[in-house]
Amino acid sequence: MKDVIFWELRRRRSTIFWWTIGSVVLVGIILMVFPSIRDQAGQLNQVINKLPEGVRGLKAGGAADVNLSDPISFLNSQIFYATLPILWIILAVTRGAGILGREEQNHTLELLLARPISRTRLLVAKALSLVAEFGIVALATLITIIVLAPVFDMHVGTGKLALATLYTAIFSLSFGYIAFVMQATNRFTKRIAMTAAVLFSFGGYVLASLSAMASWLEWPVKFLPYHYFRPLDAFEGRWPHGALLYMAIVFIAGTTMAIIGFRRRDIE
Amino acid sequence: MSGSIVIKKLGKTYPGSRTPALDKLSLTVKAGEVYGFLGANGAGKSTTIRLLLNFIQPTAGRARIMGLDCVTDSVATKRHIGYLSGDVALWPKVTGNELFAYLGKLQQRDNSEYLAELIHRFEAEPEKRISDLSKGNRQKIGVIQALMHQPDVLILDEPTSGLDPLMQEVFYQTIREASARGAAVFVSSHNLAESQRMCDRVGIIKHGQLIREQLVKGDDNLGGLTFRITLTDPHDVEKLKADRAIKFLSSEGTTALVQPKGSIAETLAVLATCNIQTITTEQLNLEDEFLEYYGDGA
Repeated sequence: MKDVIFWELRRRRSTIFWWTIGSVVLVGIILMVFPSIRDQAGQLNQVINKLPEGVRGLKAGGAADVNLSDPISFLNSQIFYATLPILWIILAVTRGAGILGREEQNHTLELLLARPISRTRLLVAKALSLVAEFGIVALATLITIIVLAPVFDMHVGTGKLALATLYTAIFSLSFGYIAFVMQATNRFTKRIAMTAAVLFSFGGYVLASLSAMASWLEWPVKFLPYHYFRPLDAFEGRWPHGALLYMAIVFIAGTTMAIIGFRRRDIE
Repeated sequence: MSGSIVIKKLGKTYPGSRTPALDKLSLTVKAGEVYGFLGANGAGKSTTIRLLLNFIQPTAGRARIMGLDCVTDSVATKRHIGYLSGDVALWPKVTGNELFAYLGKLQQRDNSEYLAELIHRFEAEPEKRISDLSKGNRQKIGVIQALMHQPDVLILDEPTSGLDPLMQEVFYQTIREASARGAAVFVSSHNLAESQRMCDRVGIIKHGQLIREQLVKGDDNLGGLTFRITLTDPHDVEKLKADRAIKFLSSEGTTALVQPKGSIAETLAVLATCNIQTITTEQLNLEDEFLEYYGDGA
């Protein structure tokens, strides 16, 4: 199994490198602007907090108000709620759909399945390489945040930063995992894997953020994971029960479903 | 069940299709035998290969490789198999050496000496990235990865596609060696001259059904004297079919192909009892055999 994981990481090393650079640079730039924004926070806060609730929700990250002079509010609204998840969801969904689906499409999956490795082991190895690939990008980003935050006057505990990054990473990865599970399960879910994951993630983000503006959205958004995603919880020491339940369902039920489906399904 | 590959009434109907892609296929390939699997596009060759490798699930019947069931013991069967797909698909950004090392680890069998010999024999360029190789050189990498662990069963789909005549010769020689070592070789091919040259036996598949098996090497029909007779009376075709003194091969309308079972004189005596319009002799080859079954444009 480790051979498959190392092979994936080695084969994808340049892509992982560029994703890591992209994520690190983006976070670095946002952290770098904090001192300038803090100095004008009063006016900016007024502008943001006067926005309609739904529009403000797109940036507030689950908080009632935005206070850009406060490091935690800044990190939550500018990095962890939207920017980082959006970037990471793109990585997770493209890799989740491709790590198995692209191999099947290119017929290289047959080279692997012609060897004495069970479909279950292959599937688990692919899932772990997806996690490992994603973990490298997230870890490099976390290190950047931990190193640069104090440099730009954001004195937030390392544990809180690590927890918020881990939470955001697992949440973002979950959408890639949905695409991966759908690719593996059967030929019908395979065809809609990418579309479903994108709709569920980005569609969910928009709807969850706009739900405050439209009362009819209040009930349906309860079925969207972004409704429960509040990175602020990690900073304030609260358990994000809804998000944890969602992630547990995706990773546990998804893995079970993928294994059962992939063991018996025809390779196209 | 004996034989390295044993297929019994194997069938596959794809979801959404009413007609089976493979219908009750039964055949056996013995250890050391090279079996050619011939058929037109869509006849069921690839479906058979994909079933043997458990890439797809059968809807009927079963197949065994080295005594192991292809579905329930799929992983164990793969320890014995070397596989080359029709349109060889390899990861473009890796080198041949990286590919061999990776697949060797997955195969859990170290045959580095034989691998080096194959690389030398096929004049492969394993230090180059796959994407930098020509089609022929990629095919060499594909052939080598199928052969490198000296498997007991080789399943090859159009193996010489893209290889130049010199390399084809090297390939035939390598297959002969594998066969002499006791490996069963199952080759799907469109190249009839190649099959006639390489195979001990061939099976012709049409519309998912095995319609004929034929010895290529040995004492059977191919290469033997064959009479092509055009008869004036259609009933004479039936008469010839029933006659045990001759070997009746096939017929189309009032034209029949027959071969002597004993002496030529005995055969001529049988033919003399029919109303013959024309009679010619020929040496039947695999191409004639194939066209005999596919001659109706199917």
